[in-house]
Amino acid sequence: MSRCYLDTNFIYAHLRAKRGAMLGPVEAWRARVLSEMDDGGGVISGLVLDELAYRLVLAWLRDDGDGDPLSTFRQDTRKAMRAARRRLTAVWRAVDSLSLELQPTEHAVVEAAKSLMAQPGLAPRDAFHAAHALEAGCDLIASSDTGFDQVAALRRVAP
Amino acid sequence: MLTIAWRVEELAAQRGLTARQLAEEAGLDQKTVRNILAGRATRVDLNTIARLSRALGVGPGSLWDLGADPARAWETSAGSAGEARPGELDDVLAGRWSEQTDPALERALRSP
Repeated sequence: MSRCYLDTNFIYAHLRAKRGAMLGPVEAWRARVLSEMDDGGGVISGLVLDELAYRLVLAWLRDDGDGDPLSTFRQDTRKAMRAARRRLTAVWRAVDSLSLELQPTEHAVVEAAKSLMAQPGLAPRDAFHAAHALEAGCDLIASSDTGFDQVAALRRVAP
Repeated sequence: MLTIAWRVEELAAQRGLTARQLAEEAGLDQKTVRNILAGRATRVDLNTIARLSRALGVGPGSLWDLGADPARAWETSAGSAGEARPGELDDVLAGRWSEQTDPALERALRSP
């Protein structure tokens, strides 16, 4: 039985996939990840929720016709967040329904992240994701980010 | 299909027990307890059920509930954030997310 850390790009792709689609690359990736996890379940961290919310808010601004969502977000973050409130609520409900385990950012996670930055030299954000995964006892990480291939204790389930 | 969902998380929360504390109380491995707390464990032996039951002070039958289906949740939650624009997910799947949409970078570069 394997435990799998679900990186933001995996959750994002799942939540932005076409409803009811069966044979696309996102569906194939999801099927492979769920198959690999068996009954071991998925793990996320606060970082995943942070990144997910931010990237979705930008995506929704673009969906609504904004050609420069980053500038819009920076100019009036409160307005952008309020406009996204209803859609974010639906997203949190969807994420909650998946019964994922939330790995807290404990002291051990921070120390592990520091070590991963030093060796093998992960980028800070990747180091924190990997540290959460390792502290949660994961042996898999569902991610399109090749940076995690440097972590010997994690096998990446790629799209 | 009839499905069973664990109520252990709810019961542990009512007693103010973290996963670690519950594992210690029950004499179980933390990983096992975390899987059960997250409602994912589907193959749990009778000894584990007895230990959890004793640690939480409830009868074994109170440890689960009927009705939930986690596997189905993946199907129903797909597309919950709206359908991606053409090409949007190609970049995500290829690991080419723009650095400009990195929340940490955005925060670091934001004007005071």
